[in-house]
Amino acid sequence: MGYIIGEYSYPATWRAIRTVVSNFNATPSAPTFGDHNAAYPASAAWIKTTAGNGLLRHTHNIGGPEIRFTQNTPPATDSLRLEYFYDPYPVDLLGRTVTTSTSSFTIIAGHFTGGAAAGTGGTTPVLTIGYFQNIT
Amino acid sequence: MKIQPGVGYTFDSSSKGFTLDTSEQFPDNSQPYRHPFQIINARINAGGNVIYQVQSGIINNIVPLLDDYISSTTVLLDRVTAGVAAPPTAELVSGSYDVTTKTSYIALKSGPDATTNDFPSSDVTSARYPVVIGGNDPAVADTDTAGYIFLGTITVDNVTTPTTFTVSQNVTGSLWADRLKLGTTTAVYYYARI
Repeated sequence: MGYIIGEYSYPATWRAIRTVVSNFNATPSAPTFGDHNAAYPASAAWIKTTAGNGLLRHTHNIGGPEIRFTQNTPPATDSLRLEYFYDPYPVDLLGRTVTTSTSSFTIIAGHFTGGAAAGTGGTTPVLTIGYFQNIT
Repeated sequence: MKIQPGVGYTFDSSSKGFTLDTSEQFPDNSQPYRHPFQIINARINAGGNVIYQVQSGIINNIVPLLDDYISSTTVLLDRVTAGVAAPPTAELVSGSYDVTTKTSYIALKSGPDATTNDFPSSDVTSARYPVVIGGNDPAVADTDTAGYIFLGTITVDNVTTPTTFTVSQNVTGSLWADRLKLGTTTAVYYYARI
């Protein structure tokens, strides 16, 4: 017997293969999942698109795109890594602005390939990233 | 020669001979096609109210309920009871209509299970279990506990003493649905026909 479409555990319908972006370094808050149901709490740990239904397509069974933003002070050696973003998002996001609580900087290709410097003075959590924003 | 009428043909006789009519040699004995969630057999009952039946269908493999006015209980759309109409019959009263449009909005209401979060709830005793209702709000708002999709509408000439009515169908098949909630915004519900 095949998987029942739409269940939480495996991708099949549009809900199961779309997700929000997780802000890896923010204080985690647990989403609520049920078959055909997903509820993400208001939190810096979750980032949605500012348009559409808030979700991104992804190809993982469980999980999805995530951002890892780290800061070492002093001196400030902030680093940003964007993981599990699939086409067309990486191309789409190049050149867009990341805003933190204290700074902003531009996304470069290196942010998708292992991470790159993210400017100085940044602190987690990321507030907006391109056309994404924290779920409120 | 003697001619006997049979299945699929008739004949007429006159002084000039016999005329055989075979236009019904392949009579159509098939039942009318009915799709899931079709509003059928709408009519006005002895009490002067519009009653209707809804062909059984599924949402996420769950058969919804309907408020059966004969037994005054909610029963499954696929309920089959000897001597009772199948599918079950619902009744629209004056409060079931929007007074401006004189229309009742036949909606499928579904909510997530309060314990498992599965959508829709599979607990038939729960108020969140899918149910077909006749509502008077043309813009009924979804909530975190209930999403609505209009299966069709029934419009009457008079909401208190209807004499004529029109049925309009929106949904023409069973449904697959998902529920999403992001932060403090109200949950949104998505439906696809299967």
